[in-house]
Parts: sequence; C-alpha cells; structure tokens
Amino acid sequence: MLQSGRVSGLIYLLIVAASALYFIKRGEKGNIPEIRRVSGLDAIEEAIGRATEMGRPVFCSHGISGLSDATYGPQTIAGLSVLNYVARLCARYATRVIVPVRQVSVYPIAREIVETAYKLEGKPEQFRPEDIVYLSGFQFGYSLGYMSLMERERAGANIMVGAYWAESLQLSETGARVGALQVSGTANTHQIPFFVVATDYTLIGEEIYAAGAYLSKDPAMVGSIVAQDIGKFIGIALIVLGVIVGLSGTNYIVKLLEM
Amino acid sequence: MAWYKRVEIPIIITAICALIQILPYYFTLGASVEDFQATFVNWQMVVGTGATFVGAIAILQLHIPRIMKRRPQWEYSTALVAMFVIMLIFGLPIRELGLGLDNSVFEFLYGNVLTPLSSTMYSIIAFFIASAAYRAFRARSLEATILLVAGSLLLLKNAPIGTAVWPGFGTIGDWLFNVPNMSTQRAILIGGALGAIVLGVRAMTGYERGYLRGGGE
Amino acid sequence: MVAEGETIWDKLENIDRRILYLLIWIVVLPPLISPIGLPISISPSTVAYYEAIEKLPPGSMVVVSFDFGLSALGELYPIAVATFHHLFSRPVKFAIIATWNEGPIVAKMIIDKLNPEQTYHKVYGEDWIFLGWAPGGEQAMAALGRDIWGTITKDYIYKKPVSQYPIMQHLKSAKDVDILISLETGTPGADEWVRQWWEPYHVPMLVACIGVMAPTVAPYVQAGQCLGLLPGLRAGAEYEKLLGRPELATAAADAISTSHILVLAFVIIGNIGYFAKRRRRME
Repeated sequence: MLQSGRVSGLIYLLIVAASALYFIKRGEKGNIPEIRRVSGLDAIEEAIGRATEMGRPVFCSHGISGLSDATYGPQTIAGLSVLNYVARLCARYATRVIVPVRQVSVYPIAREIVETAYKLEGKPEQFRPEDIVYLSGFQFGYSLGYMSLMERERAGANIMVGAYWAESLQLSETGARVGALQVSGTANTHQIPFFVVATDYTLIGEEIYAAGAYLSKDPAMVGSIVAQDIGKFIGIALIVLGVIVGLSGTNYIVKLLEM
Repeated sequence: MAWYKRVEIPIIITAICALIQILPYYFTLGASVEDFQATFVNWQMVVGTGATFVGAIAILQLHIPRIMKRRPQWEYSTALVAMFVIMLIFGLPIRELGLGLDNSVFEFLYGNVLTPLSSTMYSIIAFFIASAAYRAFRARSLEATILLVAGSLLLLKNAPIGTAVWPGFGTIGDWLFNVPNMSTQRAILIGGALGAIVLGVRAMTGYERGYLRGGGE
Repeated sequence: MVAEGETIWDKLENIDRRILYLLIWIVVLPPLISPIGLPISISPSTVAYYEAIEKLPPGSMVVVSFDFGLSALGELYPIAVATFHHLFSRPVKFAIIATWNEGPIVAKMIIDKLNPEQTYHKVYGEDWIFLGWAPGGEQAMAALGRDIWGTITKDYIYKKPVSQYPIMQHLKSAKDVDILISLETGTPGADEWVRQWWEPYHVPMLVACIGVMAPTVAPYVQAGQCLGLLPGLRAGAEYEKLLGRPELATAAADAISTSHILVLAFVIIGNIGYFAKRRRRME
C-alpha cells in the first residue's frame, strides 16, 4: 500500500503536520510561544510609512508563480498573505497600493484582497481597481511592465514576497534606482543572493511562510511556527546521527531514510 | 451572507484537492485513483486556460481607457493593443484560413519580435548584476566583507582568465561552491520545505486566511 | 568633473550606472566579434557530463528535455547545440520532449541547424524522435514517467501516432530510459525531474542550466542523482573544448572574462572610494 522509498518522508511529514496542529491548539488556549523578530517583516510598516510621508505609492507583488504548483504555490499564498497586511495598512494611511500581477488565476484573488482591505478599513471609495494591474503572462513582459510602472509612478516602497526567478534583480535594481525602500522575500534559493544585494530587507526561505502568521499576530497561527523548529530538530538529529553512524562504517541512517 | 460566499468553501476545496494530490504520492491506491488524480490535473489546466481570458480582458481594460483618454504614454498602449489583436488573429487555430501557430505572420512575429525581445530582457540582467555588485559589495562590516571576498573569488573562478592566471582560483571557487554554498543552500531548502508544510497545514485547516479576501473576514 | 562639495572619493563611490553599462558593452562586444582565445581549464563536472554521454553503450535510450524558453537562448543555445552534436555522433537513440511551451520552438531551431539526416545520417523515427510539448509541468513529468505513449500521443514533426515509430517500441515509460538530459532555466526543471523520474525510477540525469541555477542543481550532483552538470556559458565552452568543436560558447568565454574583470574593477574602485571617505571622516 505504501510507496517504497517514501515511507520515511511520510513519517516526517506526519510528525511536522501533527506538531503544527498541536501548537495551533496550544496557541488557541493562550500558550503563545516567543518568536524572534523578523526585521524584514517589521520593516514593512516602516516602508509604507515612508512612502506615505513621501506621497508616493507602495508596490506590493506576490511573485510570478500561480497557486497550483507544489513547490511555488505556497510561496504565492505567503505573498498574498503579505499583500493582505500591506493593503490594510495602505488603506489605513490612505496610500496608493499598486499590485502588479503575472498570473491570471491570481489576479481576481489579489483584487479581492485589496478591495476587501479597503472595505474593512471603512474606505471602500478609495479602492482603485486599476491599481491591481495584470501586466503579462510572459515572464519578461511582466518584469518590463513592473519596472516601467515603478519608474513612472516613482514607487516609495516596493514589497516583493513570493516565488521570483530571473526578474528578481531587474525589479529590485529598478526599485533601488527610483529610491524605494524595498522588502523582498523568496524561497527560491537561487534568487536570494540577488535580493540580498539589491534590496533593503530580505526574508530568506522559511521566513516568508511564517509571514502570514507573524503579521496576523494570531496566537494559533504564531503557535504553528514552532512546528517548523520541531522539524528542524529532527533534521539536525538525523544529520548528526548520520555522520556518527557513517563514520563507524555503516549506512543504517541512509537505509532508514531510503525506506 | 449567501452560502456560496462563505469563506469555508474555498478552504474545504483546497483541503480536498490537496489530499487528492498528496495521498497517491505516498500510497499505492490503484489505477482508478491515479486516473482521478490525472483528471483533477486536467481540470486544473482547463481552468487555468480559461483564466487566460481574464488576463486578456484585464489587459484591455487597462490599456483601452488609457488610449481613449490620451493618458501619458498612451502611444505604447496603442502598440500593445495592436500587437495583441494581430497575434490573436493570426494565431487562431483555424487551419482552413491558413491561421494558427504555423501561419507565416505569426511565426515571423514570434521569431523576429518576441524572441529577440525576450532575449534582450534576459540579457539586461548582466548589466543589473554589474550595477548591483558595484553598489552592494562594500566592506562595511565583517559579513559584507565575507560576501565581497567570496563574490570576488567566484567571479575569478568563473572567468576563464582568472583560472588561466592562477589555477588556485578554480580550487578555491570550487570549495566555496561545494562546501559553504551547498550547505547553506540545503539548510534554506530544508527550512523552506518545513515552512511550506506548516503553511499547508494552516491553509488546509483554515487558519491561514490571509490569502483569502480580507483575511477571510 | 567633480561637483561642488563633492570629492573625488564621492565620485568613485557613486559612479553613474550608465557609465558602467556602457563600459560593459565596450568590453563584451569585441571578444564576441573577434574571440581572443584565452585558455580554458576544464572542470570535473564538465568531464563527467561529457563522459556520461560518451560512455553510453550503443542502443542506449536517452530523453532530452527542453525545460527552457526563448529568453535563455543566449546562454543555453550553444550548450544545447553541442549536446545534440554529441548525441547525434554517438550510436544511441533519443527522444526530445519539452516541458516549457516554448521548448519545441527552441528545439526545432537547434535541429534545423544541425540537420541530422544529412550531417549525421540519423533516421527520424528510428534513431531519434521529436515528441513536442507535454503540458502540465511537474504533473506532466509524472505522467510521462508512467506512460509516455499515453501522455504524448503524436510526434511534433509529422503529427503521427507515436506508436507507429520504431524507436517508440523501445520507449514506453521512464523505466526504458537510460539517461535523462535536462536543458533548463528554472521551473519545471531538475527539481521536478528528481522528484518524478529519479525517486520512483532511478533514471540518472545530466543537467545543462543557466549559471544562476548551478547552486540549486549542485546538491543533486553530490547525491549522485545528477551525473554531470554544465552551468552556464563557461561550462559550455569547456564542453565544446572536450568535443573539439569550438563554437559560440568558446567565443562567449572571452566576453565572460572581460565582463567579470570589469565588474571586479568597479567593486575595487567603489571600495577605494568608501575607505578613503571613511578615513577622512575618522581624521
């Protein structure tokens, strides 16, 4: 019944998932774990405040992937959670938020998130549907449109959280050129170096997945972040054990993981 | 609130669809389940293809008013709409009229406009890498100095002239690539995967609602 | 020219990026037009890629996947041409597929350039076949692994059922494949192939990718899932050298040298400006 070679993976998945559920329930009961500050996420409010003072718009994008891909869909979800937070703050401060979109399937979701944020802040009349911009399905058509929008509108802040590929440097360099305070984040490891050198704050890998929980400050959501650490501890233990067992000349750990 | 507007509905659909994709990865559930899974993937592609029209409408909604109201840079919008219409017409799959992907006009535009434009956009990255490196590679702190030194050594490793002058650049570059870089990559990858699992649990159980309208409120 | 109140060190720290862009043009173009021929050392990873193809037993079945589109032509085209030259020169059979929708257009450009019937006397449908695009990304990869005939029913060139071709009698699923070559720039690419073809079927891979993807693919080389990796044009030039066929990548290798040295020079200039200013401030 179980696929061979995937048993250990399934056990690991179940442990992490069960831990997440356990800590969510603990969080609901008020046991909120203390988590470290994530400077990139704290900087979002600063970036929006700065853009507001400058009278410039805030750009917020959620990557170029859709929602369906197994590896990149979660990054888009994380980016949309950040968009939700950004849109609420922008609505509160009466600052324009421009959302460049590449995936048509995400376009209506992004639009609804921003529209609802304005409604929830009691300013539905300030919502500008034309600021949720579907640019192009082509990667570089999107990138070019995004860059020219930032130049034209003189972006005051540029917040990019999601799955980015080759356009990451194009967007962040353009943001730097127009003087925007930039917060970036991706789990695409090959693009992280570009974001690190070209933007002011960068969320690395797992930090973007924690963004929704961190920004919402919801106890249950914050609690779930602990499950990531449980997974890490198991990983570290396996690595250490693997090294020790490997040095003793056997490969039991490898065999165990190949189950 | 009407039942179909309730936020629980997309959450339930998300959970069911996720399970249909996850379970066959771990369990052998037989050909019928695999077929069902494949059908789901086809549905997703059909829905995705249907969404293309949303994109087309969104683009026209953005650019046509700009042309009509002569807003700044409306000329570019005119070019965009014109190309949109031309590519759409010549790319229509009507072989009887000589249209479709084999149509000579479509092929010409694809090969002689889109291809060089795409390659140009990609190659712009080379310029941006140079300006970003110049701006960011400053020895302001210990961390920045490590980044500067490691980046410079890898530049010399990748440039044939570097290894021609001193083969040691190749050895050092390979070590940087295979040891510190690789271990960091793996750590980020593992951390990212764990983050995605936990986010998946939150999304499937309805706690992660930020991506739904207004945080699901 | 130094503006009032602005020192030479300020200038060095804040050189107009347009000057840098112009200089890149100036140092990149000449070697592309007239290659200098700087010596290139060959890395073990390139040798592994070359030998994996070179040592394939006669009649081996290879699948080449185009996991990239038009935008990456500049970096991957020379590598793809060299790889196909190598494959056509060997007594192996191979099928071309694409997981990116622009992949078939790129593949056709390369096949047209090489003209396999005339140059290598290879027969379409017997020695090689062009299966075209399999839509669906990673799901398509999984489906191809299970059942190639069911996933791609007709070939790309003649639009005939794949079951009619002799080569396809030996290629029905990933179990029939001896090696998979992924020419890639991103997603779907090596990550997805490892999940869908290595893990269930243990099909070894060769990957040729853009330089920036190298760190992502490298762990698969260490793990033995990827037998050889060609990251970017420099690796392409090394491969051309091994094949004894210097072409586009070899010409581009000189441009890589000049551009990298220029960037390095600018980094040094920027740091000179930074440290000089810091010293003045401390004084």
